[in-house]
Amino acid sequence: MIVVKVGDLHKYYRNVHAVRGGSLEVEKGSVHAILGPNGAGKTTTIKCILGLLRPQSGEIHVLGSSKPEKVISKISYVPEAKEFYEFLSPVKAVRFCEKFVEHFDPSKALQLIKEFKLPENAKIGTFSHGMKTQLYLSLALAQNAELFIFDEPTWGLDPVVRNLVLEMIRDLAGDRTVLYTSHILSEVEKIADKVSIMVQGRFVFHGDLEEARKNFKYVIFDPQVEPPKEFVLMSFKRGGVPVAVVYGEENLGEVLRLYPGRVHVEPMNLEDIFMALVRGDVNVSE
Amino acid sequence: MLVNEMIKMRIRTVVIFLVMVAVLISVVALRPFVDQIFGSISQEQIPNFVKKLMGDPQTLLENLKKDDYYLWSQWFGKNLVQFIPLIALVIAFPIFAREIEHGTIHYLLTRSTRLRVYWSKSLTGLLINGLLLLILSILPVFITLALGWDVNYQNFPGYVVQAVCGGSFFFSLYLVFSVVSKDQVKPIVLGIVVMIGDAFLGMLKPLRFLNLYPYMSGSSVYLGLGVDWRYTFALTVLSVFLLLFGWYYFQRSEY
Repeated sequence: MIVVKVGDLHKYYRNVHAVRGGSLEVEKGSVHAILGPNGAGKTTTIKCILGLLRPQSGEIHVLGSSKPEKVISKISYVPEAKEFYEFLSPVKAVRFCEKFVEHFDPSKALQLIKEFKLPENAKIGTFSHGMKTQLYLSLALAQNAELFIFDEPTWGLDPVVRNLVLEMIRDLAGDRTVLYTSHILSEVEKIADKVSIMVQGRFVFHGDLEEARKNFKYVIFDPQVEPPKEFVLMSFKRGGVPVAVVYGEENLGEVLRLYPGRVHVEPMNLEDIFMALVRGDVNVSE
Repeated sequence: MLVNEMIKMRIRTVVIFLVMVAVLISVVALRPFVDQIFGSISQEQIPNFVKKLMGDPQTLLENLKKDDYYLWSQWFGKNLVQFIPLIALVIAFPIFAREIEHGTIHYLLTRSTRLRVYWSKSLTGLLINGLLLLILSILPVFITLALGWDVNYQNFPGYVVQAVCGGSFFFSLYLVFSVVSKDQVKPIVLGIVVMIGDAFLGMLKPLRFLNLYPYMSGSSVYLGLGVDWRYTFALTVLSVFLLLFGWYYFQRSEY
Protein backbone atom coordinates (compact mmCIF):
# COMPACT_ATOMS: atom_id res chain seq x y z
CA MET A 1 0.00 0.00 0.00
CA ILE A 2 1.31 3.44 -0.95
CA VAL A 3 1.14 6.05 1.83
CA VAL A 4 2.76 8.97 0.01
CA LYS A 5 2.57 9.40 -3.73
CA VAL A 6 4.14 12.36 -5.48
CA GLY A 7 3.89 12.67 -9.23
CA ASP A 8 5.64 15.08 -11.58
CA LEU A 9 6.09 17.74 -8.90
CA HIS A 10 7.33 21.16 -9.94
CA LYS A 11 8.14 23.92 -7.51
CA TYR A 12 9.66 27.29 -8.31
CA TYR A 13 10.95 29.95 -5.94
CA ARG A 14 10.59 32.92 -8.25
CA ASN A 15 13.04 31.98 -11.03
CA VAL A 16 14.64 29.06 -9.23
CA HIS A 17 13.27 25.68 -10.31
CA ALA A 18 13.71 23.88 -6.98
CA VAL A 19 11.88 20.63 -7.77
CA ARG A 20 11.88 19.51 -11.40
CA GLY A 21 9.27 16.89 -11.97
CA GLY A 22 9.96 14.83 -8.89
CA SER A 23 8.05 11.58 -8.41
CA LEU A 24 8.10 9.47 -5.29
CA GLU A 25 6.20 6.56 -3.75
CA VAL A 26 6.48 5.64 -0.10
CA GLU A 27 5.21 2.23 0.97
CA LYS A 28 3.31 1.64 4.18
CA GLY A 29 5.43 0.41 7.06
CA SER A 30 8.74 1.30 5.44
CA VAL A 31 11.53 3.70 6.35
CA HIS A 32 12.05 5.67 3.17
CA ALA A 33 15.04 7.99 3.02
CA ILE A 34 15.44 10.89 0.64
CA LEU A 35 19.13 11.49 0.17
CA GLY A 36 20.65 14.45 -1.51
CA PRO A 37 23.25 17.16 -1.21
CA ASN A 38 22.34 20.59 0.19
CA GLY A 39 19.91 22.42 -2.08
CA ALA A 40 18.80 19.25 -3.85
CA GLY A 41 15.11 19.94 -3.13
CA LYS A 42 14.51 17.45 -0.29
CA THR A 43 12.99 19.92 2.16
CA THR A 44 10.95 21.59 -0.58
CA THR A 45 9.50 18.22 -1.59
CA ILE A 46 8.60 17.44 2.02
CA LYS A 47 7.04 20.86 2.55
CA CYS A 48 4.92 20.33 -0.58
CA ILE A 49 3.82 16.94 0.78
CA LEU A 50 2.78 18.63 4.04
CA GLY A 51 0.99 21.51 2.32
CA LEU A 52 3.37 24.13 3.73
CA LEU A 53 4.40 25.01 0.18
CA ARG A 54 2.20 25.04 -2.88
CA PRO A 55 3.72 23.41 -5.94
CA GLN A 56 3.13 24.96 -9.36
CA SER A 57 2.15 21.57 -10.76
CA GLY A 58 2.11 17.90 -9.92
CA GLU A 59 0.03 15.55 -7.83
CA ILE A 60 0.39 14.72 -4.17
CA HIS A 61 -1.50 12.00 -2.30
CA VAL A 62 -0.87 11.53 1.39
CA LEU A 63 -2.62 8.78 3.36
CA GLY A 64 -5.22 8.54 0.63
CA SER A 65 -5.99 12.24 0.39
CA SER A 66 -4.97 14.79 -2.22
CA LYS A 67 -5.31 17.51 0.44
CA PRO A 68 -2.59 17.04 3.07
CA GLU A 69 -4.47 19.27 5.51
CA LYS A 70 -7.28 16.71 5.72
CA VAL A 71 -4.94 14.07 7.12
CA ILE A 72 -2.59 16.38 9.03
CA SER A 73 -3.59 14.88 12.39
CA LYS A 74 -2.23 11.51 11.21
CA ILE A 75 1.20 12.99 10.44
CA SER A 76 4.04 13.86 12.78
CA TYR A 77 6.69 16.15 11.33
CA VAL A 78 10.12 17.17 12.54
CA PRO A 79 11.39 20.09 10.46
CA GLU A 80 14.95 20.97 9.61
CA ALA A 81 14.95 23.85 12.13
CA LYS A 82 13.74 22.31 15.36
CA GLU A 83 12.33 25.50 16.87
CA PHE A 84 9.84 25.31 19.69
CA TYR A 85 8.46 27.97 22.05
CA GLU A 86 11.50 29.21 23.93
CA PHE A 87 9.54 30.51 26.91
CA LEU A 88 8.28 27.02 27.73
CA SER A 89 10.06 24.28 29.64
CA PRO A 90 9.93 20.69 28.34
CA VAL A 91 7.18 19.82 30.84
CA LYS A 92 5.13 22.87 29.80
CA ALA A 93 5.78 22.02 26.15
CA VAL A 94 4.24 18.61 26.75
CA ARG A 95 1.18 20.26 28.32
CA PHE A 96 1.00 22.64 25.36
CA CYS A 97 1.04 19.73 22.90
CA GLU A 98 -1.51 17.79 24.94
CA LYS A 99 -4.01 20.61 24.42
CA PHE A 100 -3.15 21.21 20.79
CA VAL A 101 -2.18 17.92 19.13
CA GLU A 102 -4.57 15.08 18.42
CA HIS A 103 -3.46 11.54 19.37
CA PHE A 104 -0.67 12.88 21.60
CA ASP A 105 0.65 10.72 24.44
CA PRO A 106 2.03 13.03 27.17
CA SER A 107 3.41 10.20 29.29
CA LYS A 108 5.42 8.93 26.32
CA ALA A 109 6.75 12.44 25.66
CA LEU A 110 7.84 12.80 29.30
CA GLN A 111 9.44 9.37 29.22
CA LEU A 112 11.44 10.33 26.11
CA ILE A 113 12.48 13.63 27.69
CA LYS A 114 13.81 11.63 30.64
CA GLU A 115 15.51 9.17 28.31
CA PHE A 116 17.27 12.05 26.57
CA LYS A 117 18.21 13.42 30.03
CA LEU A 118 16.82 16.86 29.25
CA PRO A 119 16.29 19.29 32.15
CA GLU A 120 12.53 19.11 32.60
CA ASN A 121 11.93 22.57 33.99
CA ALA A 122 14.56 24.71 32.27
CA LYS A 123 13.44 27.13 29.56
CA ILE A 124 13.85 25.79 26.03
CA GLY A 125 15.49 29.11 25.11
CA THR A 126 18.53 28.08 27.14
CA PHE A 127 18.94 24.77 25.28
CA SER A 128 21.68 23.95 22.79
CA HIS A 129 20.75 22.98 19.22
CA GLY A 130 21.15 19.29 20.09
CA MET A 131 18.90 19.57 23.14
CA LYS A 132 16.24 21.39 21.12
CA THR A 133 16.38 18.59 18.55
CA GLN A 134 15.96 15.97 21.27
CA LEU A 135 12.98 17.82 22.72
CA TYR A 136 11.35 18.20 19.31
CA LEU A 137 11.87 14.50 18.66
CA SER A 138 10.35 13.63 22.05
CA LEU A 139 7.24 15.64 21.19
CA ALA A 140 7.02 14.29 17.65
CA LEU A 141 7.56 10.65 18.62
CA ALA A 142 4.85 10.93 21.29
CA GLN A 143 2.27 11.46 18.58
CA ASN A 144 0.34 8.39 17.62
CA ALA A 145 0.72 9.20 13.94
CA GLU A 146 0.50 6.97 10.88
CA LEU A 147 3.20 8.81 8.99
CA PHE A 148 6.36 10.31 10.49
CA ILE A 149 8.30 12.80 8.44
CA PHE A 150 11.78 13.72 9.64
CA ASP A 151 13.87 16.38 7.97
CA GLU A 152 17.52 15.90 8.96
CA PRO A 153 16.52 14.58 12.41
CA THR A 154 20.00 13.81 13.69
CA TRP A 155 21.77 16.99 12.66
CA GLY A 156 23.74 18.39 15.60
CA LEU A 157 23.38 15.30 17.81
CA ASP A 158 26.31 13.54 19.41
CA PRO A 159 27.01 9.95 18.19
CA VAL A 160 25.42 8.27 21.23
CA VAL A 161 22.16 10.21 20.98
CA ARG A 162 22.21 9.89 17.19
CA ASN A 163 22.25 6.10 17.46
CA LEU A 164 19.47 6.20 20.04
CA VAL A 165 17.34 8.37 17.73
CA LEU A 166 18.04 6.10 14.76
CA GLU A 167 16.92 3.11 16.81
CA MET A 168 13.71 4.93 17.76
CA ILE A 169 13.03 5.77 14.13
CA ARG A 170 13.76 2.20 13.08
CA ASP A 171 11.36 0.92 15.74
CA LEU A 172 8.54 2.98 14.24
CA ALA A 173 8.61 1.01 10.98
CA GLY A 174 6.17 -1.83 10.61
CA ASP A 175 3.02 -0.22 11.97
CA ARG A 176 3.93 3.29 10.88
CA THR A 177 5.64 4.75 7.88
CA VAL A 178 8.71 6.95 8.02
CA LEU A 179 9.83 9.44 5.41
CA TYR A 180 13.23 10.73 6.26
CA THR A 181 15.73 13.12 4.70
CA SER A 182 19.43 13.14 5.35
CA HIS A 183 22.76 13.69 3.78
CA ILE A 184 24.49 11.43 6.28
CA LEU A 185 24.80 8.25 4.28
CA SER A 186 26.01 5.95 7.03
CA GLU A 187 22.86 6.48 9.08
CA VAL A 188 20.60 5.99 6.08
CA GLU A 189 22.30 2.66 5.48
CA LYS A 190 21.52 1.68 9.06
CA ILE A 191 17.80 2.31 9.04
CA ALA A 192 16.33 2.83 5.55
CA ASP A 193 14.44 0.18 3.63
CA LYS A 194 14.16 2.31 0.53
CA VAL A 195 16.19 5.20 -0.75
CA SER A 196 15.45 7.98 -3.19
CA ILE A 197 18.37 10.11 -4.25
CA MET A 198 17.71 13.69 -5.24
CA VAL A 199 20.10 15.91 -7.16
CA GLN A 200 19.36 19.43 -8.38
CA GLY A 201 15.60 19.07 -7.96
CA ARG A 202 15.36 15.66 -9.62
CA PHE A 203 15.08 12.15 -8.25
CA VAL A 204 17.91 10.23 -9.86
CA PHE A 205 17.42 6.93 -8.09
CA HIS A 206 14.65 5.04 -6.32
CA GLY A 207 15.04 1.62 -4.85
CA ASP A 208 15.88 -0.46 -1.84
CA LEU A 209 19.36 -0.57 -0.45
CA GLU A 210 19.97 -4.19 -1.33
CA GLU A 211 18.85 -3.53 -4.88
CA ALA A 212 21.15 -0.52 -5.07
CA ARG A 213 24.13 -2.46 -3.74
CA LYS A 214 23.33 -5.33 -6.13
CA ASN A 215 22.94 -3.15 -9.20
CA PHE A 216 25.66 -0.54 -8.78
CA LYS A 217 29.18 -1.85 -9.29
CA TYR A 218 32.62 -0.44 -9.77
CA VAL A 219 34.39 -1.90 -12.78
CA ILE A 220 38.16 -1.44 -12.72
CA PHE A 221 39.73 -1.63 -16.18
CA ASP A 222 43.25 -2.35 -17.32
CA PRO A 223 45.13 0.96 -17.69
CA GLN A 224 45.08 0.75 -21.52
CA VAL A 225 41.33 0.18 -21.78
CA GLU A 226 38.82 2.96 -22.41
CA PRO A 227 35.52 2.24 -20.55
CA PRO A 228 32.67 1.79 -23.03
CA LYS A 229 30.39 4.82 -22.65
CA GLU A 230 27.21 3.04 -23.76
CA PHE A 231 27.30 0.62 -20.79
CA VAL A 232 28.63 2.79 -17.97
CA LEU A 233 27.03 5.61 -15.99
CA MET A 234 30.24 7.46 -15.42
CA SER A 235 33.95 6.87 -15.46
CA PHE A 236 36.98 8.43 -13.85
CA LYS A 237 40.62 7.60 -13.11
CA ARG A 238 41.82 6.39 -9.74
CA GLY A 239 45.61 6.51 -9.55
CA GLY A 240 45.86 6.37 -13.33
CA VAL A 241 43.56 3.35 -13.54
CA PRO A 242 40.22 3.78 -15.35
CA VAL A 243 37.22 3.07 -13.13
CA ALA A 244 33.59 3.00 -14.26
CA VAL A 245 30.27 2.87 -12.43
CA VAL A 246 27.96 0.35 -14.02
CA TYR A 247 24.25 -0.02 -13.27
CA GLY A 248 22.41 -3.30 -13.73
CA GLU A 249 23.38 -6.89 -14.46
CA GLU A 250 22.79 -6.48 -18.17
CA ASN A 251 25.29 -3.64 -18.55
CA LEU A 252 27.79 -5.40 -16.34
CA GLY A 253 27.46 -8.54 -18.47
CA GLU A 254 28.15 -6.50 -21.61
CA VAL A 255 31.28 -4.94 -20.12
CA LEU A 256 32.58 -8.31 -18.94
CA ARG A 257 31.85 -9.81 -22.37
CA LEU A 258 33.71 -6.98 -24.16
CA TYR A 259 36.81 -7.11 -21.96
CA PRO A 260 37.20 -10.65 -20.66
CA GLY A 261 40.03 -10.91 -18.16
CA ARG A 262 40.86 -7.18 -18.46
CA VAL A 263 38.44 -5.89 -15.85
CA HIS A 264 37.52 -6.72 -12.31
CA VAL A 265 34.37 -5.84 -10.41
CA GLU A 266 34.14 -4.26 -6.96
CA PRO A 267 31.04 -3.69 -4.82
CA MET A 268 29.84 -0.16 -4.04
CA ASN A 269 28.50 1.02 -0.71
CA LEU A 270 25.77 3.64 -0.44
CA GLU A 271 28.25 6.47 -0.16
CA ASP A 272 29.96 5.39 -3.40
CA ILE A 273 26.58 5.16 -5.14
CA PHE A 274 25.50 8.55 -3.79
CA MET A 275 28.73 10.21 -4.86
CA ALA A 276 28.51 8.64 -8.32
CA LEU A 277 24.96 9.84 -8.81
CA VAL A 278 25.60 13.31 -7.45
CA ARG A 279 28.82 13.86 -9.37
CA GLY A 280 27.62 12.18 -12.53
CA ASP A 281 24.13 13.72 -12.43
CA VAL A 282 22.74 10.55 -13.98
CA ASN A 283 19.23 9.20 -13.72
CA VAL A 284 18.72 5.48 -13.35
CA SER A 285 15.13 5.59 -12.17
CA GLU A 286 13.58 6.31 -15.54
CA MET B 1 -5.78 26.00 21.24
CA LEU B 2 -7.44 29.07 22.79
CA VAL B 3 -5.80 28.28 26.13
CA ASN B 4 -2.40 27.88 24.44
CA GLU B 5 -2.79 31.24 22.76
CA MET B 6 -3.73 32.85 26.05
CA ILE B 7 -0.59 31.35 27.62
CA LYS B 8 1.50 32.96 24.87
CA MET B 9 -0.17 36.34 25.44
CA ARG B 10 -0.32 36.29 29.22
CA ILE B 11 2.82 38.33 29.96
CA ARG B 12 1.96 41.06 27.45
CA THR B 13 -1.61 41.20 28.74
CA VAL B 14 -0.60 41.44 32.40
CA VAL B 15 2.04 44.12 31.68
CA ILE B 16 -0.42 46.22 29.65
CA PHE B 17 -3.05 45.89 32.37
CA LEU B 18 -0.67 46.91 35.17
CA VAL B 19 0.67 49.89 33.19
CA MET B 20 -2.84 51.09 32.43
CA VAL B 21 -4.00 50.67 36.03
CA ALA B 22 -0.98 52.73 37.12
CA VAL B 23 -1.95 55.44 34.60
CA LEU B 24 -5.56 55.40 35.82
CA ILE B 25 -4.47 55.65 39.46
CA SER B 26 -2.22 58.60 38.62
CA VAL B 27 -5.11 60.32 36.80
CA VAL B 28 -7.35 59.86 39.84
CA ALA B 29 -4.58 60.86 42.24
CA LEU B 30 -3.93 64.12 40.38
CA ARG B 31 -7.57 65.20 40.67
CA PRO B 32 -7.11 67.33 43.86
CA PHE B 33 -4.18 69.19 42.30
CA VAL B 34 -5.95 70.36 39.13
CA ASP B 35 -7.15 73.56 40.80
CA GLN B 36 -3.65 74.33 42.04
CA ILE B 37 -2.01 73.59 38.69
CA PHE B 38 -4.43 75.59 36.54
CA GLY B 39 -5.24 78.20 39.18
CA SER B 40 -1.62 79.24 39.51
CA ILE B 41 -1.38 80.05 35.82
CA SER B 42 -2.60 83.50 34.82
CA GLN B 43 -4.37 84.07 31.48
CA GLU B 44 -1.44 86.16 30.22
CA GLN B 45 1.05 83.36 30.83
CA ILE B 46 -0.75 81.02 28.43
CA PRO B 47 0.47 81.34 24.84
CA ASN B 48 -2.15 82.03 22.19
CA PHE B 49 -1.69 78.74 20.35
CA VAL B 50 -2.38 76.85 23.60
CA LYS B 51 -5.52 78.89 24.10
CA LYS B 52 -6.60 78.00 20.58
CA LEU B 53 -5.95 74.35 21.22
CA MET B 54 -7.58 74.15 24.65
CA GLY B 55 -10.31 76.73 24.31
CA ASP B 56 -10.93 79.27 26.98
CA PRO B 57 -8.68 78.30 29.95
CA GLN B 58 -11.19 79.68 32.45
CA THR B 59 -13.97 77.53 31.04
CA LEU B 60 -11.64 74.55 30.97
CA LEU B 61 -10.72 75.09 34.60
CA GLU B 62 -14.38 75.37 35.55
CA ASN B 63 -15.14 72.15 33.65
CA LEU B 64 -12.22 70.32 35.23
CA LYS B 65 -13.65 71.06 38.62
CA LYS B 66 -16.55 68.76 37.65
CA ASP B 67 -15.76 65.10 38.39
CA ASP B 68 -17.57 63.87 35.31
CA TYR B 69 -15.70 66.15 32.91
CA TYR B 70 -12.38 65.50 34.61
CA LEU B 71 -12.78 61.74 34.36
CA TRP B 72 -13.92 61.78 30.73
CA SER B 73 -11.33 64.29 29.51
CA GLN B 74 -8.34 62.98 31.47
CA TRP B 75 -8.99 59.24 31.26
CA PHE B 76 -11.09 58.50 28.18
CA GLY B 77 -10.20 61.61 26.20
CA LYS B 78 -6.50 61.86 27.00
CA ASN B 79 -4.96 58.64 28.32
CA LEU B 80 -6.98 55.58 27.38
CA VAL B 81 -7.67 56.80 23.85
CA GLN B 82 -3.98 57.20 23.14
CA PHE B 83 -3.24 53.74 24.45
CA ILE B 84 -5.99 51.97 22.47
CA PRO B 85 -3.98 51.65 19.20
CA LEU B 86 -0.84 50.88 21.20
CA ILE B 87 -2.53 48.08 23.16
CA ALA B 88 -3.90 46.65 19.89
CA LEU B 89 -0.41 46.77 18.37
CA VAL B 90 1.27 45.06 21.31
CA ILE B 91 -1.36 42.32 21.32
CA ALA B 92 -1.59 41.82 17.52
CA PHE B 93 1.88 42.22 16.02
CA PRO B 94 3.47 38.98 17.31
CA ILE B 95 0.45 36.74 16.78
CA PHE B 96 1.64 35.45 13.40
CA ALA B 97 4.88 37.37 12.75
CA ARG B 98 6.65 35.83 15.76
CA GLU B 99 5.58 32.30 14.81
CA ILE B 100 6.81 32.87 11.26
CA GLU B 101 10.06 34.51 12.33
CA HIS B 102 10.87 31.81 14.92
CA GLY B 103 9.76 28.93 12.68
CA THR B 104 7.20 27.64 15.21
CA ILE B 105 4.51 28.13 12.55
CA HIS B 106 5.69 24.80 11.09
CA TYR B 107 4.75 23.03 14.29
CA LEU B 108 1.28 24.55 14.29
CA LEU B 109 0.50 24.03 10.61
CA THR B 110 1.60 20.41 10.62
CA ARG B 111 -0.52 19.57 13.65
CA SER B 112 -3.70 21.43 12.86
CA THR B 113 -5.64 22.94 9.99
CA ARG B 114 -4.97 26.48 8.82
CA LEU B 115 -8.60 27.31 9.59
CA ARG B 116 -8.20 26.33 13.23
CA VAL B 117 -4.78 27.97 13.60
CA TYR B 118 -5.84 31.29 12.06
CA TRP B 119 -9.17 31.76 13.74
CA SER B 120 -8.17 30.53 17.17
CA LYS B 121 -5.13 32.83 17.21
CA SER B 122 -7.00 35.82 15.77
CA LEU B 123 -10.10 35.48 17.92
CA THR B 124 -8.06 34.93 21.09
CA GLY B 125 -6.18 38.17 20.37
CA LEU B 126 -9.39 39.99 19.54
CA LEU B 127 -10.99 38.70 22.73
CA ILE B 128 -8.05 39.70 24.95
CA ASN B 129 -7.83 43.14 23.31
CA GLY B 130 -11.58 43.64 23.76
CA LEU B 131 -11.56 42.40 27.36
CA LEU B 132 -8.67 44.69 28.27
CA LEU B 133 -10.50 47.70 26.84
CA LEU B 134 -13.74 46.66 28.50
CA ILE B 135 -12.05 46.37 31.90
CA LEU B 136 -10.10 49.60 31.45
CA SER B 137 -13.29 51.43 30.47
CA ILE B 138 -15.28 50.06 33.41
CA LEU B 139 -12.58 50.19 36.07
CA PRO B 140 -13.10 53.97 36.71
CA VAL B 141 -16.70 53.19 37.70
CA PHE B 142 -15.57 51.26 40.78
CA ILE B 143 -12.82 53.72 41.67
CA THR B 144 -15.03 56.80 41.39
CA LEU B 145 -17.86 55.09 43.28
CA ALA B 146 -15.42 54.30 46.08
CA LEU B 147 -14.20 57.90 46.10
CA GLY B 148 -17.71 59.31 45.92
CA TRP B 149 -17.20 61.28 42.70
CA ASP B 150 -20.17 62.78 40.92
CA VAL B 151 -20.01 60.92 37.60
CA ASN B 152 -22.68 60.24 34.98
CA TYR B 153 -22.49 56.45 34.94
CA GLN B 154 -25.10 56.16 32.21
CA ASN B 155 -22.41 57.20 29.71
CA PHE B 156 -20.19 54.23 30.45
CA PRO B 157 -21.87 51.67 28.15
CA GLY B 158 -21.33 54.16 25.31
CA TYR B 159 -17.69 54.69 26.24
CA VAL B 160 -17.19 50.91 26.31
CA VAL B 161 -18.82 50.38 22.90
CA GLN B 162 -16.71 53.05 21.20
CA ALA B 163 -13.43 52.10 22.89
CA VAL B 164 -13.86 48.37 22.18
CA CYS B 165 -15.03 48.95 18.61
CA GLY B 166 -12.14 51.34 17.82
CA GLY B 167 -9.66 49.00 19.49
CA SER B 168 -11.00 46.03 17.51
CA PHE B 169 -10.52 47.94 14.27
CA PHE B 170 -6.89 48.73 15.11
CA PHE B 171 -6.35 45.13 16.24
CA SER B 172 -7.72 43.75 12.95
CA LEU B 173 -5.52 46.08 10.93
CA TYR B 174 -2.39 45.18 12.90
CA LEU B 175 -3.28 41.49 12.64
CA VAL B 176 -3.15 41.80 8.85
CA PHE B 177 0.32 43.37 9.18
CA SER B 178 1.32 40.41 11.35
CA VAL B 179 0.01 37.86 8.82
CA VAL B 180 1.76 39.40 5.83
CA SER B 181 5.12 39.93 7.57
CA LYS B 182 7.88 37.35 7.77
CA ASP B 183 9.46 39.13 10.75
CA GLN B 184 8.31 41.13 13.76
CA VAL B 185 9.87 44.47 12.85
CA LYS B 186 7.64 45.29 9.88
CA PRO B 187 4.30 45.05 11.69
CA ILE B 188 5.62 47.27 14.50
CA VAL B 189 6.91 49.91 12.07
CA LEU B 190 3.70 49.81 10.02
CA GLY B 191 1.64 50.04 13.20
CA ILE B 192 3.48 53.14 14.38
CA VAL B 193 3.11 54.71 10.92
CA VAL B 194 -0.66 54.07 11.06
CA MET B 195 -0.94 55.60 14.54
CA ILE B 196 0.92 58.75 13.53
CA GLY B 197 -0.74 58.88 10.09
CA ASP B 198 -4.21 58.58 11.58
CA ALA B 199 -3.68 61.56 13.86
CA PHE B 200 -1.96 63.54 11.11
CA LEU B 201 -4.59 62.90 8.42
CA GLY B 202 -7.28 63.82 10.91
CA MET B 203 -5.84 67.33 11.09
CA LEU B 204 -6.75 67.89 7.45
CA LYS B 205 -10.33 69.10 7.24
CA PRO B 206 -11.56 66.89 4.37
CA LEU B 207 -10.01 63.82 6.01
CA ARG B 208 -11.16 64.59 9.53
CA PHE B 209 -13.38 61.49 9.53
CA LEU B 210 -10.21 59.35 9.41
CA ASN B 211 -9.21 60.52 12.86
CA LEU B 212 -10.50 57.79 15.12
CA TYR B 213 -9.41 59.39 18.37
CA PRO B 214 -12.52 61.56 19.00
CA TYR B 215 -14.70 58.51 18.34
CA MET B 216 -12.68 56.20 20.61
CA SER B 217 -12.66 58.78 23.41
CA GLY B 218 -16.47 58.69 23.42
CA SER B 219 -16.85 62.43 22.84
CA SER B 220 -20.32 62.06 21.27
CA VAL B 221 -21.40 60.04 24.30
CA TYR B 222 -20.10 62.67 26.73
CA LEU B 223 -21.75 65.47 24.78
CA GLY B 224 -25.09 63.68 25.15
CA LEU B 225 -25.36 62.64 21.50
CA GLY B 226 -25.13 58.95 22.37
CA VAL B 227 -23.13 56.26 20.62
CA ASP B 228 -22.08 57.17 17.10
CA TRP B 229 -23.73 54.12 15.52
CA ARG B 230 -22.80 55.04 11.95
CA TYR B 231 -19.15 55.13 12.81
CA THR B 232 -19.50 52.00 14.96
CA PHE B 233 -21.13 50.11 12.10
CA ALA B 234 -18.49 51.26 9.59
CA LEU B 235 -15.62 50.22 11.89
CA THR B 236 -17.24 46.85 12.62
CA VAL B 237 -17.63 46.15 8.89
CA LEU B 238 -14.02 47.19 8.27
CA SER B 239 -12.78 45.01 11.14
CA VAL B 240 -14.63 41.97 9.78
CA PHE B 241 -13.29 42.70 6.30
CA LEU B 242 -9.71 42.93 7.64
CA LEU B 243 -10.03 39.68 9.57
CA LEU B 244 -11.35 37.94 6.45
CA PHE B 245 -8.57 39.43 4.34
CA GLY B 246 -6.03 38.12 6.88
CA TRP B 247 -7.62 34.67 6.60
CA TYR B 248 -7.54 34.84 2.78
CA TYR B 249 -3.84 35.74 2.86
CA PHE B 250 -2.95 33.16 5.54
CA GLN B 251 -4.70 30.39 3.60
CA ARG B 252 -2.58 31.09 0.54
CA SER B 253 0.73 31.72 2.26
CA GLU B 254 3.74 29.44 2.05
CA TYR B 255 5.88 28.64 5.06
